[in-house]
Amino acid sequence: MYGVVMIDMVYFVIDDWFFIFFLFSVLTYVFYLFAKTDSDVNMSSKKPYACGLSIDPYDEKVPSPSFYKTMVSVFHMGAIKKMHKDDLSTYLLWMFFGVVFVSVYLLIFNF
Amino acid sequence: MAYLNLIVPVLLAAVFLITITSGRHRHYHLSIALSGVIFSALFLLFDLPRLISDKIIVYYQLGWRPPLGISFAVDFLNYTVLLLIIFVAIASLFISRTEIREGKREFYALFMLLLLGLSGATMTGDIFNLFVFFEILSIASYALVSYTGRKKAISASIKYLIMGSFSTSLILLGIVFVYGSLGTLNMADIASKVALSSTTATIVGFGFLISGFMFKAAIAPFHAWKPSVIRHTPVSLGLMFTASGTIIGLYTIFRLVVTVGNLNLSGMLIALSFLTMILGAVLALQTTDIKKLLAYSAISQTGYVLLGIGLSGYVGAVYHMVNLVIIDVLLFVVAYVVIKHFGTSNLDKMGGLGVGNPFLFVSALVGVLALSGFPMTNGFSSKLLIYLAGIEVFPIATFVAMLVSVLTLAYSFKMFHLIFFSNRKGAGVVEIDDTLKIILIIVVVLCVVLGVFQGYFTGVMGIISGSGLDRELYIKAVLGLV
Amino acid sequence: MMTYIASLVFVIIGTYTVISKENLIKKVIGLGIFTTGIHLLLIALGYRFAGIAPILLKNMGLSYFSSTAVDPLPQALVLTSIVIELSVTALALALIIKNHRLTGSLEA
Repeated sequence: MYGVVMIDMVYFVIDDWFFIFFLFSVLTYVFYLFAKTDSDVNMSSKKPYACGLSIDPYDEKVPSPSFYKTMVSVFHMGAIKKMHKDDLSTYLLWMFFGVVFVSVYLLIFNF
Repeated sequence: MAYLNLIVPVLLAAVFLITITSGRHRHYHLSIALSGVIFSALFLLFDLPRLISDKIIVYYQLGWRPPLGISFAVDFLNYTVLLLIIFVAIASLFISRTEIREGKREFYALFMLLLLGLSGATMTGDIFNLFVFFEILSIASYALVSYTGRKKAISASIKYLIMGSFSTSLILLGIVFVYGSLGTLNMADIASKVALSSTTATIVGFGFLISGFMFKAAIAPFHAWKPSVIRHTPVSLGLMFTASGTIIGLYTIFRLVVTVGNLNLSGMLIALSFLTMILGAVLALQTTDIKKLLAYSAISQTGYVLLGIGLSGYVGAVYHMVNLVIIDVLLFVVAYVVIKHFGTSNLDKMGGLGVGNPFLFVSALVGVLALSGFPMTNGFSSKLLIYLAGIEVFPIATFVAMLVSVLTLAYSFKMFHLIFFSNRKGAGVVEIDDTLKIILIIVVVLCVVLGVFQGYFTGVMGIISGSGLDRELYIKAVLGLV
Repeated sequence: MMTYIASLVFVIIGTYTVISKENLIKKVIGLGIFTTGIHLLLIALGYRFAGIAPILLKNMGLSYFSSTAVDPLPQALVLTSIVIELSVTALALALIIKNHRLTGSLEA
């Protein structure tokens, strides 16, 4: 059912295009008006919400290497990143294995 | 009147005009480039009525009929790919307007050559012509990567050149095998002969061809050039390489596997797509640079399209191909604005843009939600079609795709948090150029409209993918009932 | 038959050189060898045993020409491909020189 749809459906779909186009232009105009608004918020008076505690400015920012450190170390994803050093011969070797894999698969399954 | 045929000469004229315009008039370079692209878009639109009435447009170059002559064959699938390429080119030119300060003549001339190669490769119906246009676009992109002259850029360009030249030689090897066994270079003729007289050599030839085109689409294990190239080039080039490179690679693989070859490739495509999706998502979780994160995200989404093709869910695959281009345009424009504001592309040095930038915040929020497949955005529509196709054929594929979708949400939320939150004082108001604001508005509304009107657009994508699957129409139209 | 084996040897040597040598100029040489192997294979495909060159002379019959001439299409393909490989090699060498000026080494 989600595979092939016959080309004769062109006339059926094209009848609806005007409504979609009209809605698209309306939404574009509304969003354009939103884009022109200025926002003058004086942020130094507001504090981020932290369940009643106060956050040190040092703690506010999570450094990005530690963002998913737990999951990365549990699933050993760091090994994949280590394999991607900037080494041309390794990359070419991967490409060669890819070509071999594709050709062997095609030979076996389409003989 | 052959409008589509004029795209390649117009772009070539733009290349020559930019090259002979002297440095004194360098503010004309962008205007010439933009007018070339807009003329191409106009030619595309002029030929739309003829495409709808004929369902495929075929031009015989210089009047030589196939199977001896080169023909351009454009059906709905080709047309969509051309529209997307021109849209990405316009967005990329708008970004380059404020980003490229020096060396404009080389940049715009090579950019027009890249666009010429892309348009020609999409429209052609002849395998060797595809190879020549592919080489044009590859050489232009090797030169474009190195045009800034910085040390890391030249190093990335050398690596890209050697890997890319190896894979286009593989394409030539594939063409040699296919020509040697079937005796013709025309794609429709190959399609009509491959069922009767295909030998081992033909199958191996198709294998080499597909491997060569997988390099351009950055499918694992051919993906390694993409993060370093996108990291060290300007954002406009990154957008052009990501969006149009991926789409030309995927379109060519679709055409070769489905229309021309009619090969049984589901197992290999599903295995490679697992590798691509997981690799892209896992690497994006650990990176600290926004450009590399967007590159890995594009690799991961390309894996989704490949999964759709492998599971025979062609409607979902084509829909996701369109969606990934739209989302990539949105994210790259947001990334450009953010990089220009902070002066660096390192995520650790950003933060606090959520204060005082409501427009940018909403655009980036829609982009992140669309990337993760949130309902009411276009990412959900296409991913749902791929999941449904997976449940019918191979349920483990749906499980892996959903897992990678969770990882996608994880890394896109990481990017969103590190740019917009995590600094209480705020980082000031970002100045967005008016042209970029128009692009952002159009793309955000497209994301929402493509997601809300899911049924309608599934029908549209069904037509587009159905015309890609219709082999008899393709063969009959190109060979002219010979 | 010997031509096909020779082109296979070229392709294997070219692939090995590109993958395993660290020096960039050797990699470019390897690419050239690989492409030369493909060109050799392509020209050898068009050969017809005891065939003549595909040039139609003045007093040659058309059926004689079409039954003994070598296939001219692979020759055109190889010409195009040699030109493309030439430009890629020129661009690669220029980039290697620039890389050498910036980093002082000829490796990657």
